[in-house]
Amino acid sequence: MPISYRGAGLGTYWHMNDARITGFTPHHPGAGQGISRVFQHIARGTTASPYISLTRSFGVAWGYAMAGKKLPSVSKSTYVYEIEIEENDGLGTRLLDPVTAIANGLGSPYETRTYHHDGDSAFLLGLVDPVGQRPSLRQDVRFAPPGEGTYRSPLLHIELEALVRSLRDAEILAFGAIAVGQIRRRIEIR
Amino acid sequence: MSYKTKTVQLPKRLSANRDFEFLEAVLFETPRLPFAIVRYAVQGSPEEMGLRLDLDKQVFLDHFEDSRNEALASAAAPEIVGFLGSAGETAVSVGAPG
Repeated sequence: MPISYRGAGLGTYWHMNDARITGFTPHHPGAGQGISRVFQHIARGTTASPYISLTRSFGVAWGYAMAGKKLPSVSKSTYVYEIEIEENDGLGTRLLDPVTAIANGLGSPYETRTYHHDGDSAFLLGLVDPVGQRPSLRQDVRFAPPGEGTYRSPLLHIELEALVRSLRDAEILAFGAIAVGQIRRRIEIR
Repeated sequence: MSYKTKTVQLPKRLSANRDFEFLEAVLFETPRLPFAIVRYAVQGSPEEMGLRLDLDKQVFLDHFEDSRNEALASAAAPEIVGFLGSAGETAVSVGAPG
């Protein structure tokens, strides 16, 4: 059974509240699910979400645990929760791979509407690392001659943005609450 | 626990007003993480806890119940990331676990 993780940095809700006692609940459990909510959850960090972000990577969860509202120290540890959700376990939690969900919703290559960008081949570097590779993200679009178009940065659709962010975090979404019995342990990071 | 951070002072122009000021951003240098902890002050008083800023998504991971502060923070997030990504950033201190 695959293991997922969730980091809890200092000062965050799941650091101050022990999910081993309460389980995890999403910010907005009553909200319906759908691909638009997946986009908003992943790419915009919206709180009006029925999803709980998990990761398949302990290293990613460790990063979230380190970057709390305050720096951790030897005397103030942070946590990574280890979670195991079985399929059809009767607890009502459903897992969603956002990359698969987004990819399944993309249109055919015959459609005008596309997730593709129209920048140069370094554009993706800028999307992956907007701080370190900012010029690549903010590049000017090249237009095929002889035409000229409005001076602008490359197109960036939320589908591509959400795909990249999901891949960064090795992300899995849980829809519905995560029960106490699905949390294997809380690992202390010192 | 082993990490190194870099603290960058944020210019006043990134703050909407004196009641809500962004002071500095703590960046994780080793290991490099795509997050910053942004320290801020409300009515001139620095808050003990900062705000988690996702540098890639350019959004704060923490939110305010006060809609005015929430709007100010949301609008400032990409500006702060832009500043941190510019060549003009100035490290004021390098830190490690206490």
